[in-house]
Amino acid sequence: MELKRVLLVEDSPNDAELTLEAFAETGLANEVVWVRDGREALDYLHQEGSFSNRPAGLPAVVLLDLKMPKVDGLQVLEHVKQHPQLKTVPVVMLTSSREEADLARSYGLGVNAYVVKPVGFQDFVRALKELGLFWAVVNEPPPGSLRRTQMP
Amino acid sequence: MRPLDLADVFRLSPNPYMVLDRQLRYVTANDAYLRATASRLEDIQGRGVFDLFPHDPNDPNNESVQMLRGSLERVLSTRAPDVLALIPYRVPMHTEQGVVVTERFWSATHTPLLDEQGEVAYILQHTVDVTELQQLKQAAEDQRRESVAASAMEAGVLGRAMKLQETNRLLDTERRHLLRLFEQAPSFMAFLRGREHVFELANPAYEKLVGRRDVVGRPVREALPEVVAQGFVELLDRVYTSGEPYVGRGMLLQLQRHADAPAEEVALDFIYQPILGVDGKVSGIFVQGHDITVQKRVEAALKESEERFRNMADHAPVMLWVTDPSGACTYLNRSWYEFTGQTEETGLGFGWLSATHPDDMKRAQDIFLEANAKKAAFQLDYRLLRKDGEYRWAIDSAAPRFSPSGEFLGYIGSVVDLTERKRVEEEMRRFNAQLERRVQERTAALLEANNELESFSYSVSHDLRAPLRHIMGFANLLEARAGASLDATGRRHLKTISDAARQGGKLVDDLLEFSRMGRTEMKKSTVSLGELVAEAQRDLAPEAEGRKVQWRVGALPTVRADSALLRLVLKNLLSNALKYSRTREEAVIEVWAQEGDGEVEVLVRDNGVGFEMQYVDKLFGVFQRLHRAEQFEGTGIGLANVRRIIARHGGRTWAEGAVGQGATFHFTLPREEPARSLSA
Repeated sequence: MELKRVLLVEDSPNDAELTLEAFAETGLANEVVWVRDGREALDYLHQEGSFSNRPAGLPAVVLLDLKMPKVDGLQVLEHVKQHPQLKTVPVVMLTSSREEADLARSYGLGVNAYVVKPVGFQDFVRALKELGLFWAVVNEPPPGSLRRTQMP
Repeated sequence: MRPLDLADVFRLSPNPYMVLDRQLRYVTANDAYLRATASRLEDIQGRGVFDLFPHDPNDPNNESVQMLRGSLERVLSTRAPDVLALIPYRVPMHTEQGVVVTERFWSATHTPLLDEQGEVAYILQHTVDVTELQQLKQAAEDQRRESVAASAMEAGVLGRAMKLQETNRLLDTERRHLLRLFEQAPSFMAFLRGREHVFELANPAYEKLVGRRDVVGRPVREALPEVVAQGFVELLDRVYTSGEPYVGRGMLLQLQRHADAPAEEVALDFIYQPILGVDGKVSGIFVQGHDITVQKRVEAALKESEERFRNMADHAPVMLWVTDPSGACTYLNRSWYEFTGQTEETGLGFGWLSATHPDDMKRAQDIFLEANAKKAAFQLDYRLLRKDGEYRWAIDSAAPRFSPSGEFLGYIGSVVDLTERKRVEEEMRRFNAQLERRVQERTAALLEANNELESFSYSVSHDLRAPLRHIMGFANLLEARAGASLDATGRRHLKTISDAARQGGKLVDDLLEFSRMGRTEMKKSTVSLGELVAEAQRDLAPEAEGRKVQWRVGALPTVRADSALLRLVLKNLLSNALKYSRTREEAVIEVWAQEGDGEVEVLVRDNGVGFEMQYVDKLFGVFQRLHRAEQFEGTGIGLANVRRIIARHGGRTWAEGAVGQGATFHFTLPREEPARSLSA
């Protein structure tokens, strides 16, 4: 199992598939690891549970859905940003809503970016492409994260 | 026998007589008078008495002249005889040495001779030379020292003569004094003589009472005909025959106050006093009295005013009372008696204390008596026994009464049953509390509804948007994968799926936007409308690209508004104007403002397709559209947002237009922050 550069936390398989399709257009599809809820996301980040055997290191970016069962996106964000080892990992909220309360809470917790999923697929693809390129390719992640140069 | 020649009698009388006219000039004089004054008739006729006999030529206004003139003038004014008991007067006299002016003493009587009108035509003087008597008196006094006894007899004769003169003088003075009193008396007086009640005397006050009618010498029934029917002549008859006086008090009678004037009512206090003659029989009636008409009128007015007060007080809805300076109650109105069931016997005086609750009695009495001593206004709460046996809380307010001269007269006070008011107040308080509770409940319900709305729009935004996104996404993927193998109809269906989903997503977005518009907090600042319009024009530049658009933007003021919301309003209106004018070769869009009453009105006009005025009400409704989507795209939320935002600013929105003739949209903004009675 290799370390992936993008951690996608998404409970909806439809959204996950669309996201992966979009990433496919940028050539980043294989760089994405998809988990289904917040609990799994935290397990992944801490290399716990079913992810205790994953390669060491942290993703270049976490794409986090807001509304999820068990542990929701805001709780994951809060945990990440308050954890000494995890807080440097860039987190991008991916959500269906533009609710101001969500926006405010996310930025209050230290989110790095907040993206409202566009309804139109082409727009969605464009948004994800830009996101993936920026966070996984252009941006210089903190030490310990997977860099582009480490790409096989 | 030869008839008596009165002229001879006059001429030959041994007593001196002379006659003067009204100007005090000699008309005639008899022989005795001419002898006594050493005069000849032809010398004195037509000449003034004081020219001929000045007494002292060096002092024309000497005392003797004054006495004589005074007597003559009295006769002229009173038309009554006048007596000069003793007057020293110098006149010429025949003596052994010839005619000599000597000082002599006279006693004179002046009698008026009246003409047919009763006026004094002449004055007859009868004069007696009393010089000898006077000289005797002088001689007696001279001799008194030498021989008292010898002159005793002479002195006795002289003394009697002097006494007579003195008595005459006194009587005359007294008579004149009485006459003056009668004339000047403020009460009316008259003397009626005989069985026919003929006016013999009537003083000015009486003449005034009857309107200065000439009554003297005429019987009452003729002089005052109007009193006959009123029974006054009968009354006089009774007094005359019975000899008993009659006293009338406050008698009303109809009297002419002027001759021929209509009779008016007068009120009189008077007495008919029978006067007895020397024979002990009634010779006449003395009438004396006062006109009390004005006094009666004042009394009547007072009585009327008091009756009015009583009537008002008795019908007043509060209990009223009046006390005298001692504190005793002298009046209680009907409300008091009806409330307490007391009567005048039990209520007046200090009866109110017996209707006062035993626990309040001492305090109430102390407060009242203390105020009464200080003559100060006071207020007092106490429990008053109602006639049904229930004690009711009452408030008693009283103010001192003073006479016009400042004398304390007691109190006038009112008592109000407070129990009812207290009950109403309590009810009001309960009602208010209930209202408050209801407001709180309503507020809570509203907050609840608001929360529900929040969570509703939250789930809409997540749950409804996601499937729409999925439909679109997978339709796109399908087209990408299998588009080539689909026929034209298949591809059209795929596009319809995609378009419908997009439209659905836009509707959701707009709905959420609209909901947010009503909920977001307003942040007001001073906003330049001109700048907002310019910004909106820039934002809309892409839509105007490739079209001929003529913008006519007038002068626009600054307003107090939420800048972001107002920007949305202008963007919506300008966007509409652009959109609905795109079928025109050249679009003309005008924006201007005009000052209204306390508000600014902004107008946006286009020359576009317009609309039918009958649907104007739908324009501003949520998701209401007047055009089909194929003609002009849109969700129908823009104008609903405009109306909502303007309403939140306290303004109004309306529009006018006609099909094919463009449309004008108006909105207003209050110039100042409107005062809010309730905090939102």
